[in-house]
Amino acid sequence: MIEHASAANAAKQANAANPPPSRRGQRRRLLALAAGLALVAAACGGGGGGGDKGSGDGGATAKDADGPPQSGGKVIMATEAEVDGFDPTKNRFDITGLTYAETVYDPLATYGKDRKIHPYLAESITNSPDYTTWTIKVRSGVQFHDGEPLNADAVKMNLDGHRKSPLTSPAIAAIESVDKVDDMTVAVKMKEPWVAFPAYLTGQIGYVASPKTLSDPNGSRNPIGTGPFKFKEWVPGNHFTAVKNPNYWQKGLPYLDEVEYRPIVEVTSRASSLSAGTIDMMHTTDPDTIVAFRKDKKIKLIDDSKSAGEHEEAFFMLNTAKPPLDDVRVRKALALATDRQKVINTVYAGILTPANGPFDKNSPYYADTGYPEFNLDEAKKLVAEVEKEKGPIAFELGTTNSAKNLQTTQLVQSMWKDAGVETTLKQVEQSQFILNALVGNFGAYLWRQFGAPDPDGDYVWWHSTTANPLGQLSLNFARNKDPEVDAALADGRHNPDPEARKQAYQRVAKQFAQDVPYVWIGTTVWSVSSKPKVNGVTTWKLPDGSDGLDTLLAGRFLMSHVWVSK
Amino acid sequence: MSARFLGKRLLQLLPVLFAVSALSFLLLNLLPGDPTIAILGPSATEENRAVLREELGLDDPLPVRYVNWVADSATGDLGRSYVSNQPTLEAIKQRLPVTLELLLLSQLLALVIAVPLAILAATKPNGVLDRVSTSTAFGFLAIPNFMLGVLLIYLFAVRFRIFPATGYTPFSENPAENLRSLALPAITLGVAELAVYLRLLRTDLIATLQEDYIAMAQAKGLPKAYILLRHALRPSTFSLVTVAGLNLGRLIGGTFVVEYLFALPGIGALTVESIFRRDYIVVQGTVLLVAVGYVLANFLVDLLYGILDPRVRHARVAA
Repeated sequence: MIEHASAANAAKQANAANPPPSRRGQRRRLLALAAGLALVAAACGGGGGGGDKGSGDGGATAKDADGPPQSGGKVIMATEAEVDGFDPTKNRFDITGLTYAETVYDPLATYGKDRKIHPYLAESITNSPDYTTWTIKVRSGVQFHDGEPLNADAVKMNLDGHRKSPLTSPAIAAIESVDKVDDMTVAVKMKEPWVAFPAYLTGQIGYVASPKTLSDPNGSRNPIGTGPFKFKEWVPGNHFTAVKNPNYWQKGLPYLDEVEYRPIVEVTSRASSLSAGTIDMMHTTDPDTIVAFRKDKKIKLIDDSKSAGEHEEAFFMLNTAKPPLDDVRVRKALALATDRQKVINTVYAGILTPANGPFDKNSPYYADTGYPEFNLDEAKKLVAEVEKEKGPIAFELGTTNSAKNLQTTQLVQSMWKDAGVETTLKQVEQSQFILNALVGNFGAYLWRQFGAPDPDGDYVWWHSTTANPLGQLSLNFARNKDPEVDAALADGRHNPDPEARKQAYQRVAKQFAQDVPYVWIGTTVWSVSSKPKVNGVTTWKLPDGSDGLDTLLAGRFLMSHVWVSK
Repeated sequence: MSARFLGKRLLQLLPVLFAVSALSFLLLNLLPGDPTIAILGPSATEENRAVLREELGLDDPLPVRYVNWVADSATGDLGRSYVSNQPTLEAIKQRLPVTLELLLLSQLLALVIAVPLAILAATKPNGVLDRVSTSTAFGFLAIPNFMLGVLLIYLFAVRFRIFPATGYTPFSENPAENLRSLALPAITLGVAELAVYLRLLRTDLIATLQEDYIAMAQAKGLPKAYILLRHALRPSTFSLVTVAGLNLGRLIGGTFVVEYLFALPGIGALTVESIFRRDYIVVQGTVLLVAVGYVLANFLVDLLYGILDPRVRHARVAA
């Protein structure tokens, strides 16, 4: 499952996913070093103890302690980054931001074990028959941490804030107006039928911050919400602490008295901190760490590699508006020349699943897309055919300044070279990288994206209306224009029938396999690991009594339901 | 030390500070990339970015922005972070104690071990202790600090669980925990310094011990320890003090890595984070701080020469 409910988040993820790998490359070397030292220590008679890693690869079982949840205690969780603030309408919520946000705020909706969206802070979310109006009614009797009541005005102020926000507004551009119906209800009117709108309420756009937080210029550093924990202290780069909200609207929750988050950017340090017991929990997408923790019996690991829902994909984005990649035969040749499994085994510790489209095998939208399988001979033939007509194929291949990304790109560069395609490799600074993608100043870029919990969240990245000519800003970075994709995206947005939507997005994926605007690599795996005493990450109940999501929402989970066994 | 000398030295600091601030400002602003993309993400429209550029004053010509920044900095206003809107000065105040404590501890650790070891080694050049200590020191010098940090975490946090792997406890909150949380980072940083100090002081001491006045003192029958500490040590610390001052730059560079590795909320980590986010304002602030700190530390070293060696003092007065 993947978390971001806004295009802004998807975008953030698209680029935020890039920095960590550099540390991964480093990590592998350092791990080897640490292992080397362990050998030295053992040779010096210091061995014994510590050599507790199991040899099986079955992985640690993430089973909660028996018995009912216990209240009390504190959990320290390490995150992969620091946030820039807590205002949902102003700050960029990556995975850490969403985790922090869900500590002090509640989302209007969330996912259940049935993979359906359930009202959470909202009592009900209903649609007009034509899906052009969504009516959100919030629960009565809920208070913000400062004692102010939750009501329709607060919800309207949040949604209006997003509509004005440069950060989050593009994702909800289809909203026409937000109107107060009564004290507890707002009606959200759309410019077109919008079936998937509630999915947007499960993330950044769905958090309800107190009007005071939104109007206070320092609100982003002093959040007030309705959430399970009250903001206590945030020292950027060091820790964010929140204490139990005694008046929480879900009786009996949260279980913990206090929760502390610590950003530990360096993944090796984060993992060591968990192994050393300095922290209780952490999250990561680092394949080497996940593989190590799967074997570690002292660590409880939950990963979403086998869970249904959407994952981000790693892929090479091709600029279909710029020669030579405007020729679909070239793009197809690149796909044929890319041995996805080899890339995954070499760079990603073998744990990613090779992708054949934007939806992975566990997603309901997955289909056999007919994406070109690795076939070097076929690739060579296509290249020869094109070169006979147009001359040698050469373009710029780019990635960010990260060792892991460079490794991936170099490997794929050599694969493409085997097929006769010459590329020049260029590493580009992160924000310049995004700018180049926006204005089309690239050939092929290593990218990571497309993990919106509902595929409608990727509308803005795929539709031809957002594909502008070179030199102009274009959210459809690949500039792929395909009427079939447009029609399928419209169907997915407008058609309420789940089966029809499924087919619509399968059509999108199949068209991508034909057009090849993206050369797929694999899907990202998110993990949350903890000491064995930490429970409740994926076993919890929704307010209506039904089971909550039994896997991670792209690394996300609700801290309100986490408890520690004594 | 005359006031004139002090004033002259302080005046000499000004061009250095100007050069450092201008260079750091230029470097950061000439880098490719656009802070508005770093802040707003790719989905923001050109209009939104234009508004933000205007707000941040990024449309002004570079010299105008530099002058504005210097003028504000002079009044203690280092601007607000583009990203978190936190005043840079506040961020620096929050994080400076961590870095200062780390620097102090690592230097103390290095000196407390290096000085006695060097003295012992110098008394018996090429003895067992001398050989073992200098070769060990050389080994430590050869290990890059990020590598040493990982090894220390693995050994003392993961394996033996003596120290926490990461994190920082403020001294005011719990002094014992504070020292525990800084132990591994301080060792990581201090070990390389230790090696340098040990080798320097040992060599200088051996040279000093060959001087005639030492032979004279020995002839007078003064105790060996007395001669070492009272007669030989002070004249032998010249190189040590010089290097300790110059090393500050290297140490500060080391904190960038060590704070990142140990997740310490110091100036180094702040700078690294801010570079990743293209938060120019904060980077300019921290670079300026580091530069001023470095220049001041070396100014202090200059003053120390005078204290260590009366000849320097007298020469200065004469000049």
